Amino acid sequence: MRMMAIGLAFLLLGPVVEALAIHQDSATPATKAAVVLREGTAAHLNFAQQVTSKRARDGELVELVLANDLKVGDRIVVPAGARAIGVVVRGEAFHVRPTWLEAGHTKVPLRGLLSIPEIGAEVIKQSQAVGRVDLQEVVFVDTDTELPGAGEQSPSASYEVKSVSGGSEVPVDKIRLPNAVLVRLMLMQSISSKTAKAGDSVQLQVLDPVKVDNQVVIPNEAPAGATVTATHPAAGPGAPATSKCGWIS
Amino acid sequence: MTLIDRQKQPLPARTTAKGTPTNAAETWREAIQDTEGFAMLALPFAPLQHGRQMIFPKGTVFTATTAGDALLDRSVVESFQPPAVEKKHGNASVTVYYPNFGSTSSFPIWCGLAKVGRVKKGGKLTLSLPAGKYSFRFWAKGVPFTLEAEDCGEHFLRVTESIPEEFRGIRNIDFRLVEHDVGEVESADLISSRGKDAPI
Repeated sequence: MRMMAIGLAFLLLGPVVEALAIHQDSATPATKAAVVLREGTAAHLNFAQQVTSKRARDGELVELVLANDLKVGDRIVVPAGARAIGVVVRGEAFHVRPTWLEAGHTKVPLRGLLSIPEIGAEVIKQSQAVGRVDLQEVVFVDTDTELPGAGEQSPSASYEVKSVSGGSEVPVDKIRLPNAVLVRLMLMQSISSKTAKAGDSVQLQVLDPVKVDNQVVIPNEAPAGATVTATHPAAGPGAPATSKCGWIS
Repeated sequence: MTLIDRQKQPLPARTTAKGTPTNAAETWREAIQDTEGFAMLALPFAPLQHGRQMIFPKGTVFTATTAGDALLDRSVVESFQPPAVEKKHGNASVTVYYPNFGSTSSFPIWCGLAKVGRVKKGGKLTLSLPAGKYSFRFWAKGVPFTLEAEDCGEHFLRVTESIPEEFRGIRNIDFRLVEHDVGEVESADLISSRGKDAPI
């Protein structure tokens, strides 16, 4: 009678997605080719994958795609089809929060919500909402973002931090990795509440390189570690298991 | 987390996962109804049934943010820059894999008009295809999933399956294009099965 599938509900707490690009006007002189994508610019996004409320977990990344060219004046600075990433947010409603849009080597931070209403979506069952690939929503550029090589497409994903925050001086021979830069991490081993114990070490790996001033400061596949802080194996009849992890480098 | 100059940088974040409840009472009630009471014979064993374990599968992706600033030597950073990736030419590799979490033993895989093999639970099927657009299906007339295979690209398609408890026996089966590094890690320990290359 025991169900065959292992259920996994996922709740991501703590800092998840923060602003990606932090600017300092004087640090990096703009080239003549650079354009600035202004805060508040509307961007139409489509889902590049189907997302269902049945399976999508809180904090799960969702592939999105730019539906229309983004222009500054008559110049196309981000072509339609550019990749964007959103994060599933589960609460009373089920929606996807856009995080950034890939514009060449630059990540353009986004704000807004991609709602997945049960009405208008492909409803399989009453409580299940499905974000279809043709579902389109409008989101907005979150901060002014300089695009040095506008229109150029990045061959691979990476997070680029254009400059530093806080206005403090950085010596010429230093590169400053500012606070609150988003890093994507991948679990290199499975963790089960059946076997994991508090204090167990967990191996992770950085997924996309992080750049500052066009220099890789966190390389792809850089090792990272975490510690399991608590687990509660499934015990009583019908009682689910829980596990908590606190990431420690 | 290790920076490129070997400095350690903290990434404070917490994640909690929870297994799902089994809805045991509801399941037992339905079973008793469906069997006209016969399932009551097994009811004494019900207390042995517990909820599902939580699992973060290998390849699960998290996001975190750096805590605090870090200053790195520019010369060290520059000396550790990864080399430029040299563009290669050749067939693309497409790996279709079915993690161990599914409830079906295997699925046939069709590419274009050809059945290219079967992917078993806990298994993977790797195809070598010239660059181009391909339609993948589970059955000859199934809903296609279109993949644009790049020149010398490595692509990973995960078979995802769900069985809504309310619709017993009706499965939702999808292909999902997984980013390269995740697909590589998720499929690394799965058992390879032979596939037919270059279907029409």
